[in-house]
Amino acid sequence: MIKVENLCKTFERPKKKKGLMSYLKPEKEKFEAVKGVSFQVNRGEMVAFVGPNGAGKSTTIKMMTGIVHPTSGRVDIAGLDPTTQRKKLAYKIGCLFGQKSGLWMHLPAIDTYKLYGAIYDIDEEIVMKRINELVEMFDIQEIINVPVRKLSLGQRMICEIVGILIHEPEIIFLDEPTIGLDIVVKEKVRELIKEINRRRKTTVFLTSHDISDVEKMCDRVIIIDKGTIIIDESINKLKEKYMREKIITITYEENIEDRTFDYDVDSKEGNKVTIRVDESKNSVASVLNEFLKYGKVVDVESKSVSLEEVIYDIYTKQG
Amino acid sequence: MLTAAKSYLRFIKMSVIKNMKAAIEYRKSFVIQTVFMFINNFFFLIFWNIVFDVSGDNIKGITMNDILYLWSIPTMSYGIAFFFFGGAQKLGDYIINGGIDILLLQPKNVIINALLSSSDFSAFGDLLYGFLIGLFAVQFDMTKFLLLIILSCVSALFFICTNVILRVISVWVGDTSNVEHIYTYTMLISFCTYPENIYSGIIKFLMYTVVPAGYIAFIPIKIISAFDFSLLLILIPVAIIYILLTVLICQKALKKYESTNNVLLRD
Repeated sequence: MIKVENLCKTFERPKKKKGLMSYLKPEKEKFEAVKGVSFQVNRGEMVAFVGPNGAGKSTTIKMMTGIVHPTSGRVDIAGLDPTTQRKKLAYKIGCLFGQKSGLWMHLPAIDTYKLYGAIYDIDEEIVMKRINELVEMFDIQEIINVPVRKLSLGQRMICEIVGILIHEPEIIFLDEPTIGLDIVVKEKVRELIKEINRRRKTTVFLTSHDISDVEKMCDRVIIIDKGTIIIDESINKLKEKYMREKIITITYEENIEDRTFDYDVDSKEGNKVTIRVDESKNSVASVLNEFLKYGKVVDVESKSVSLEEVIYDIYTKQG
Repeated sequence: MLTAAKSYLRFIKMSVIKNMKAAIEYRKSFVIQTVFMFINNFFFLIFWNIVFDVSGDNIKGITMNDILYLWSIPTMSYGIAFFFFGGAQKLGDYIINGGIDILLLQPKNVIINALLSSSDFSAFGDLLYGFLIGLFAVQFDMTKFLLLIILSCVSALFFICTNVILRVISVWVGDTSNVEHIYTYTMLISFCTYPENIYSGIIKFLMYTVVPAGYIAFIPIKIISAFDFSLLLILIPVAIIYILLTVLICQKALKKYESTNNVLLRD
């Protein structure tokens, strides 16, 4: 369904200015935003494409959707080349950019949907049928006729999602679909996207800085940093590999800041000490036993490392 | 070919309906802008009327009827251009702020999509004004009036093409809105709304080349008033050249276009 091979994009940007001559004859330097990215996504998969700011996520998505032309490499989306077959590809994909609106803010969403019918050459009766189905599914009967500018951010985002589904795309690209939304609306947006994936086998390619989006929606995560893919794993494997650690906070009766421990500790503060236990090497019980000898323990708190912390670690180690 | 034409006609129809609905959504603003543009244009005729009152009915061969023609075709064509294709005035913003992205994701020609994306409400005042003044210019001769409407549509192409060219060059040089404003209002419209015989030399050369006032106003007026259809052999090829040049520059600009990640709302 999606095949990306050795994809590269180099931009030109002005070099830092030094002296008057550089203003008169500005020098340019090349900047490689994406460096040889390769991956495949199968039909019906929900894949998260994450990375820190400036990692090359948006540039890669823009090359996959025909907005930006690659410097080199090959992209095949549903059997089409986005660079040379942009218009044909548009019928097969739907794109939602959390920071760019596809709806006209002065008009109710239904007017944009009807116009989409003309843009995507869908028969008027079929458009109306699809609009009604989606309106019912997304439960937006009450807001469909309200000008978009009067909707809340959450309502607008749900209307945007409906907009990209009117032409029943095979693949949807979602760039930050939950940006700025409260947790209730975020959850609703995630459920709706999953529902579309279940009902229509729609392939979902998602970027988000909210790791809960990745964890709750996707089967697989691709992590990109400095234009290169550093991890391409199923979420389960990633959890197995990186989430074996338990974080344990032990509270002693007395201050332990001056104590020396035989075990590596993350932090010591007042009467609290925090340690990480890799369960593939040690059991939590055996490590706790060790720590009991340093004083009277009044409380023990244990939690697993979250996916967010794992990804944060991966980002920072790369940095 | 026929299917594509039908598809684009439906797209144009739906876009016009969408833009009309946007105008109705802001009906007070729409009415105010239309009325004020009408009044603005009407003042020029009042001044011309004063000039003719002072200097007699004929100033070096120019009559009040010539002035009516000069104000009807350019204003009607400007109105047609920007009421129906007002997105032309936003192309520069779309390019600078990454708004072209949304259009590139849709299966329609990007520039046509951009042109139809919005409407300049005040241009409806120009359209209405040109229409009414045109009726007086042709002295209610319906054949001439029909011709005036058709030729205003051709003239509108020149407004659209020059506007698009000056906006899409933002890809290479950055914001060009001021240049476009000076070009359209200070040069093109000013040249169009004064009689041709006051111009000579380099100015006249410019008016039939890079500032196409001659094709927007003077040639259509000659065709209508003298029924000189041979001038269509000049007007139509030049219009085609302008369209082809615009398409060529747009193609090059879209290749050069680099998206941005700005936060953007459509209006």
